[in-house]
Amino acid sequence: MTLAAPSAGTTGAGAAGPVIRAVDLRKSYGDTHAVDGLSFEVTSGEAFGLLGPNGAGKSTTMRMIGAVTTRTGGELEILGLDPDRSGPDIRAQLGVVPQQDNLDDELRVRENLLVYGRYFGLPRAQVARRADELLEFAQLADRAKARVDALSGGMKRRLTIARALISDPRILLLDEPTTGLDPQARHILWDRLFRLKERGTTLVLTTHHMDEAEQLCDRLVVVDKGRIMAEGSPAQLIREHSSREVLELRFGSDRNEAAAETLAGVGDRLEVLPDRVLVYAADGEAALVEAHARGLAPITSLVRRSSLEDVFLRLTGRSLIE
Amino acid sequence: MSAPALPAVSTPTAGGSGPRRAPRFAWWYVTEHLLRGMRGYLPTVVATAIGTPVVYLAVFGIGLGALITENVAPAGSAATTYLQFVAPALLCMSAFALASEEFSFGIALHLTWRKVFEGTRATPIASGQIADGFVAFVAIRMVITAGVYGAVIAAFGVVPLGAIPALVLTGVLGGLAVSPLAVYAARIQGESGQFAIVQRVIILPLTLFSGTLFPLTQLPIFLQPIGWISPLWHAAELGRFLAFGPSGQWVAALVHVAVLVAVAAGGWIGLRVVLTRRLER
Ligand SMILES: Nc1ncnc2c1ncn2[C@@H]1O[C@H](COP(=O)(O)OP(=O)(O)OP(=O)(O)O)[C@@H](O)[C@H]1O
Ligand SMILES: [Mg+2]
Repeated sequence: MTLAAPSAGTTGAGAAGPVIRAVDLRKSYGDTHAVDGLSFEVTSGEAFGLLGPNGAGKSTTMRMIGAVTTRTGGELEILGLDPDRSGPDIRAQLGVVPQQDNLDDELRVRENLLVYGRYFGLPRAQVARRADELLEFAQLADRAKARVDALSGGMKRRLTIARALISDPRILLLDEPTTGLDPQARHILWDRLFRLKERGTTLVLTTHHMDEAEQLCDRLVVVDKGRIMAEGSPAQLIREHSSREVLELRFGSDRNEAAAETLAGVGDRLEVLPDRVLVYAADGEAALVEAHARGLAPITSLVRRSSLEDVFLRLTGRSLIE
Repeated sequence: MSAPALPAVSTPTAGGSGPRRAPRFAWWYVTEHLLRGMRGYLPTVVATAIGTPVVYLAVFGIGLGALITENVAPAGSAATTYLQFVAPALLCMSAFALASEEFSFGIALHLTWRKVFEGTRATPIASGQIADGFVAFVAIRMVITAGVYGAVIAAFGVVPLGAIPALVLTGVLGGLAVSPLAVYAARIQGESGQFAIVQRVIILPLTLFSGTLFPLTQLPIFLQPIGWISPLWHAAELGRFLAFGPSGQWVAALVHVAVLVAVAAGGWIGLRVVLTRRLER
């Protein structure tokens, strides 16, 4: 998989400074520190990802960036504005896809786009034209007059994404955009997001799918328990925190621990999961040869490239998807 | 599978050619949205608005009116029949019923059950403007319902046509004074039958004991405070005065207006505060 170079220069004005700047950003709910000191910057035209397990604080961060939730502490600047003071002017320039769809079931599919466009003060004719374009974009043109509650989960998701684009935002915030989509719909959506990025829209997205992060993000932060564990491009993160290849061995549920003891010293590092043993090594095939040489007979073996999943496992000791 | 080509977007630069500032009169877009939602059940709205007064006029005019021959209107009032006594109150009751529905179920529907306001909140609209837009929507719904009511009672010659606009305004003001209910509705996160209780224990008694169908003074003195605290009583009394007099009772009328305006404003401001708290957590 090749990664796109950061699309610097695709936007004119404003490309110089960061469009989002967070310094020691914090949000607490009572004793829960949902976001516990995040610092990051997003530059114009960039696709920036927040990767982390459930409860990491991704959505809370997105709501603060979206100028919906006020921060408990730290600094936050969106498009050069402070969300505490300029919330409406910031939101005028954002498109938001929340984790949970909040479409209006009382309205038809197209109407959901129309009323939303009006919220940005856009003239009716312009909203109507854009609504039709976006229905095409979201492959919902034939459903324009359908009731929202008659849509499938994936269609609703696509409608929510179309809705977020109605005002042609400078920054698009996507909180787990592909949750509930089938693989085909996910790939179509990735393609759409990629095109938006090419046109200069800044993307900020959260996900727990490593493949999604690898496909879409120029740069990402791995978040856990409200803190940043690592930051960089997907390739960089893999290089820094994992070996080039991974050998996956399955010995059957009770025998993984024992096999791992026998494997000690093979590769750079071992990770024992409930269902398999991961051997991190520059050369996975060589590691497999060594395992056989030590008398091990795995039920299955697989050599693959390191992924962000491995980075996450390394950094937090936990799987992304539990 | 190959994805279809991205359609041409209206502006060549795209990706950020959208608005840079929040729109003015943002609250109106909330109202516009809610009115569009109402379109779906507009036939019901209109049928109810026309059907209810016709039924009530039949019950109170032809039925009860025939039994109640005593003049219950205050001395000096131009109202001579029981029907004329109840008609302004019935108009206010229609707005009151609608307001108590919208300010409970309507709030829960958009805030908790469907989270529509959460979507609105992600746009340039501020939470307070969502409250404003919602109150304006309820007011418009009441104008429609009370307006139809007024047209019907004027058509039957019960109330002089010239008094109808003032009567409709009175009904709407009385309905807006139900807004404290919206403050309660916006505070509860999970509705589990509270509204049904509110309807039966608060709204229904208020409807019946607010000097609507009979003068408040018919009640024993210890029950009369129900009327005094009821927006409906203030609205009904004001409506009767505006339709039939007696002229000269301006002070009492102004007191009714003042009470209604104060309660409506209190509820409205309260709703702004609670909605802001709910939507900005
Ligand atoms: N409104 C709220 N009130 C109280 N606690 C909250 C609220 N919103 C989030 N939290 C808490 O903050 C923490 C972070 O939640 P958040 O939704 O940001 O996580 P997330 O990374 O988006 O998780 P997921 O992947 O499950 O969506 C959790 O412990 C959550 O319980
Ligand atoms: Mg989340």
